[in-house]
Amino acid sequence: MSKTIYKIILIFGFIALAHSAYSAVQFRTYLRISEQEFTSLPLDISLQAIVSFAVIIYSILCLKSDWKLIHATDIGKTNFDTLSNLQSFYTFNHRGKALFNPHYQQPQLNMDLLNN
Amino acid sequence: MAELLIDPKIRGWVFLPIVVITFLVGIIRHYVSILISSTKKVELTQLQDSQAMIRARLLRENGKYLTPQSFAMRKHYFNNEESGYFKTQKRPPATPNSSAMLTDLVKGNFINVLPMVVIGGWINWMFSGFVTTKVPFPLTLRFKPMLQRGVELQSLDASWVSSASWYFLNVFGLRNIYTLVLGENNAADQTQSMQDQMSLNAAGQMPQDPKAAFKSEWEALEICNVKSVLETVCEDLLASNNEPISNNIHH
Amino acid sequence: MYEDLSWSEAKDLLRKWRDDNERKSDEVVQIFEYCLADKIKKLGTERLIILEQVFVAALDCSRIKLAEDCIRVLISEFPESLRVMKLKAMLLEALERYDDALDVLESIIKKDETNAAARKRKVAILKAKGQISDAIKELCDYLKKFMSDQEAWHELCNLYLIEGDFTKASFCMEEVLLHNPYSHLVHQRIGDIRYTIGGQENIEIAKSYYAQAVKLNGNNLRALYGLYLCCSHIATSKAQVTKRKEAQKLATWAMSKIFDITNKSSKQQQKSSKTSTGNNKNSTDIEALEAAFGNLDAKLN
Repeated sequence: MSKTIYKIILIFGFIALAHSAYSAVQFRTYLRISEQEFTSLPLDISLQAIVSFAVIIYSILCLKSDWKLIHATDIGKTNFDTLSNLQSFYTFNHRGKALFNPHYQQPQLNMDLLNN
Repeated sequence: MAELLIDPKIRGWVFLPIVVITFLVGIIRHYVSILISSTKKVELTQLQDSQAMIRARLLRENGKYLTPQSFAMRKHYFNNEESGYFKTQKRPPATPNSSAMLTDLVKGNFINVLPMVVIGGWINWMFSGFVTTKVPFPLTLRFKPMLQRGVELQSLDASWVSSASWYFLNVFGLRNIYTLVLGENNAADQTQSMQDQMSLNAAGQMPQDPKAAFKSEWEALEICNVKSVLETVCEDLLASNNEPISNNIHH
Repeated sequence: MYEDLSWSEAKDLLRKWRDDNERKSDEVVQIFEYCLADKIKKLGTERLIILEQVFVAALDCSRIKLAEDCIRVLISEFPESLRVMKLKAMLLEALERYDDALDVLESIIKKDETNAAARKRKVAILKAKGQISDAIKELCDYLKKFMSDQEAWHELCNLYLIEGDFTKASFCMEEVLLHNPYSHLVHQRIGDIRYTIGGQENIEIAKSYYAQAVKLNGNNLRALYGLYLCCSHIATSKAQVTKRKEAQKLATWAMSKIFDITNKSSKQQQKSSKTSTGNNKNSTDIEALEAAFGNLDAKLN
């Protein structure tokens, strides 16, 4: 619902901007025909251009904006596993040996010890 | 105004050579600076001091998240009259290590200033007085001294660019191409190195004296009076009770 | 599952894991073997850093041969580099030749006094040998010099937790907090430690830290549950009446919030299970419970 309104405003803004451009061109041709020196555009044309430009910007922002909230903390990206993953302090004598090494050999039980 | 027609030979013998020369000089600068730059050796005590400074600064900034007791404990560690870190760590004032600094300075000048002067002068001498190109948009008269160095023609439209100015445009404008060719953090870009030099001069004027730095940090920590956030956080949470709780603290 | 990744996708995935600080050693090794091993030349500037990543991952999975292949390339590229020497020491560690590894590390430190990584590896060796108290001593010495190294503070916290010295552990975690004041996880962790110490005062501090964590991230279930536990403890204690009342209020609020989150996740899972495999209510309930309390188990690694 609101999207269509902004679309209409956007189209209106483009038309207004195009119209102001057209008026500016027309003003220049008029000056050339009447052989006057060009100093500046009339106020209404420049005002129309600025206002329509602002309208276009506003409506595009409202139409297409997908604002992201700024979080103070990075939610979702880090969990305690990544936070407490301390690369400098890795140790390697853990279960990874048995889990991931295809050639892992279980340590042999020392039967003598068990028998005694 | 009548259109100017530029001899196509100017394109072949002035316009493009200037681009190529500035580009290649940038590349050479990159490799020369890699060749002669020396990694600075950091002393262990220096490192320790800077780390202590960082820790004290963090304590000042984020100390409000600690309990008052924990904060006082850390403050005591740094600031205690008898045993505080900033009081007991006596460092000899940094000796003005002149020879090392001088060589660094000479090296910096050798890489940055010398090629700028030499190549700039050479280009001015070799390709002076050409109108090389035109920017595709109209410009006001104020741009004339910038874009038409070496060609002082009153009637020439401001959007024409002279050879000397084209050289300077290249010097300042090739940064992105360098990052493309050499990767980030290259030394080819003169503007970047000039900024570095500025900051280096600013830092160089202040003698690196750990004693003074310690004293200022000690003072800052001494007057730092934090109010623990922890006391009020529960009330804050209850106050936002009725609103749909927001996961986002806007900053 | 990684067979059909293209090499650039694999490269991006590895980079993402590097940036996010994931361990995932087995996955890294698999990706490397399936997708990247024969295209190592194509990786360009990232080649060496990927080799280092794979090297560490291979050691983690105790794939010594792969690790040796990686480090051979790195040594031939940088024969003098201290960083590669550190990797060599790590290889020796994985082979449980700790004394040789220590020799290598000592030679690194001799060459460059300021090399932090080698000093940290020395601590890791002591930890691997199981000499936790020696490791703590070594790490304290290290932290006297490199006192703004938050990774080391975090590790010291873990070591103290292994030893059961919770007060010191909470000190270390506070030091980590000074580095990331906006991380809800660190707040929550301090809350955990304080709650574990126990006692009226500590539980109130734990409550504040849990509340801070909840304030930063309202979906942190563990912090919410901790907040609930702290508040209900205070509400039944001999504290002042106003305090007890407030705690009661906060406890009910935290509980309702917990219900919201768990109900949401269970509903979502019910929905997904309904669409896919039909209505298996039992399993969805278990899944919901797991989702709810999976975050709660104490991660004392």
